[in-house]
Amino acid sequence: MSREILASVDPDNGSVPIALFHDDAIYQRELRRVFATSWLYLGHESEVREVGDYITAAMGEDPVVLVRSADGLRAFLNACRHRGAKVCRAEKGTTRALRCPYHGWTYNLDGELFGVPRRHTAYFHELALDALGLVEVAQLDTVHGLVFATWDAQAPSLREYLGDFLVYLDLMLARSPGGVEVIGGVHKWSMETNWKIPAENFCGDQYHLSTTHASSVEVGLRNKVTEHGHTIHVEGGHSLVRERGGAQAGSAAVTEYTRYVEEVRERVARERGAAAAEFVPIGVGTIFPNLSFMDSVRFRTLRIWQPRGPHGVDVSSWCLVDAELPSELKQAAMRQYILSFGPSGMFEQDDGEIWTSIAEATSGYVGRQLGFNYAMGLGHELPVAEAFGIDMPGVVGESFMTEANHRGFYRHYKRVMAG
Amino acid sequence: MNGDREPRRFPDPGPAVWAEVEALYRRECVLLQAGRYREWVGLFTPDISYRAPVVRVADTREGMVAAEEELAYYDDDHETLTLRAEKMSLTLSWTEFPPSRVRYFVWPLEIERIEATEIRVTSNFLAYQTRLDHREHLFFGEREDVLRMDGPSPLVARRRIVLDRSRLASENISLFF
Repeated sequence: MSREILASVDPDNGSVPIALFHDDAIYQRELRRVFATSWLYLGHESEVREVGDYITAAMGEDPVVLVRSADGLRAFLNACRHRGAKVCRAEKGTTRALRCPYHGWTYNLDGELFGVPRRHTAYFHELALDALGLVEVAQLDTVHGLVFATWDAQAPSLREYLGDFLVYLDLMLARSPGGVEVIGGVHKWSMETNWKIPAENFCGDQYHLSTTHASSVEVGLRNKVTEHGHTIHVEGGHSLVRERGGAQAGSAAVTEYTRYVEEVRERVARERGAAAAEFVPIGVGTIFPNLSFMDSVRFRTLRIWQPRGPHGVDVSSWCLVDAELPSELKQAAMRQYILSFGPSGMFEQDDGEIWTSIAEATSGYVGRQLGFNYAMGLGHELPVAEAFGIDMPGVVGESFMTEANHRGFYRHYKRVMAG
Repeated sequence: MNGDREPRRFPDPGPAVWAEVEALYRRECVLLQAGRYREWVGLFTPDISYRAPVVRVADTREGMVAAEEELAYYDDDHETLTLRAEKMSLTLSWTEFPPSRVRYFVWPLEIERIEATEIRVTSNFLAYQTRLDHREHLFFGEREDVLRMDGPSPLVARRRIVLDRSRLASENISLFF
């Protein structure tokens, strides 16, 4: 059954079967093929600055703990090797060791088991502690402070995985000398929809802005959507959409942060040329499979769409700022992020409302037999370099409104799921 | 909020003030339940600080509520609250169109006089929301207001809202608290 569903994933003809968003077997295959092999986002280095700092996260449905040991960052399955209780139960904290609350097995920050109660009297010295360290991710690496990990030892390096998208990530994350950091605290909420719905939206769905977000446009929080910008995807299922002048420009509640972004754009234009400056701020995008971002003239956010069954998503969302910013500007960016995104954000609240209705409307027998339409701009795509005469990678839609990025996402998804 | 420490006690301001505060909160419940957000914004002073810090699972009570410079579900002044109220009043605001049915319960209250013209009110709240044909959300939390008492009726000058959930169980927040 899941083989038939996958066979009918046909982005090149503008169609993806609706069953892909509902089927249990497909979902289990996603956990194995997508989430246990891809590089997944765990958190930002600025959340674990000192030795002993940890945060808890998830990779697919597997809970993990990211901790800074004396040797650097390590990530482990957050489950004791004895009977599986969580060794870290807070979302964030500082510790000298990871101690299981069930029977007291204790691991050091490198995941090595060193404390087993009654090791002599109950285990007769026969327990091989070396073989019972916490289960560690196969690979862990960072790019501009963003920490990624994969369970797949055979996966390419993080830099190879990001591939052509690195150029664009550099423009988003390395445009200021001090790099980026996250504002403390995470927006966490749950939605009853399939994880691919928000992930593909952030790939570059400019089309929904005028209707989904009509009320926020009407009150001036952003200008009406124009036809001007770049909708770009690269190999690997990563994509972004960049609006001319920067996303979220509007007349209401404008802060000094917007002026700061303009200054950065002028500096990048002087240092790296006008073509690069066009990508400040870079816009909206998704790094395959489930890390999305929005870098706008008002704020910058990172978020992950953590799968929880075919009809569940746990969202975690952060506000990201340039580390060198004075605190007033960091606060301005944070307030603008909260005003527009996160569960109460004037934009995101309407997204959540509509995404959950997709799951409801299409979960019936008849609904599942149909396909979603991804035909917008089919056959109207060309290399970025050719379209703009600039040395940048990827493929761009001929028109700003296009589902070229969605198609790139599902093309890669199909390849990974078939593997 | 949510701390172990016993806060410093201030004097009870007496029955006349209690009556004024209860009347204000009754009025607020009526406005919020009816979706009369533009009128609701009129209950705040022009220098309102309206904030709902996020809550995290932490090993200590002190670490649970995000600090003032950290992330919040709301972090608004009068300008942005007004913008939110305008947006929510439009029929194209899908999250409240069709409108939710909502009930607010604010109780018990603790009222203290902290300045000659300012009182602090600490309360628990429960907001029940149901929308479309079966969606239901419950928001439990604690609220701490500073009310300014020098006008014809009290106005909210500062509000801190702490929702009890860490990961919210709703696809969005389309209510005010």
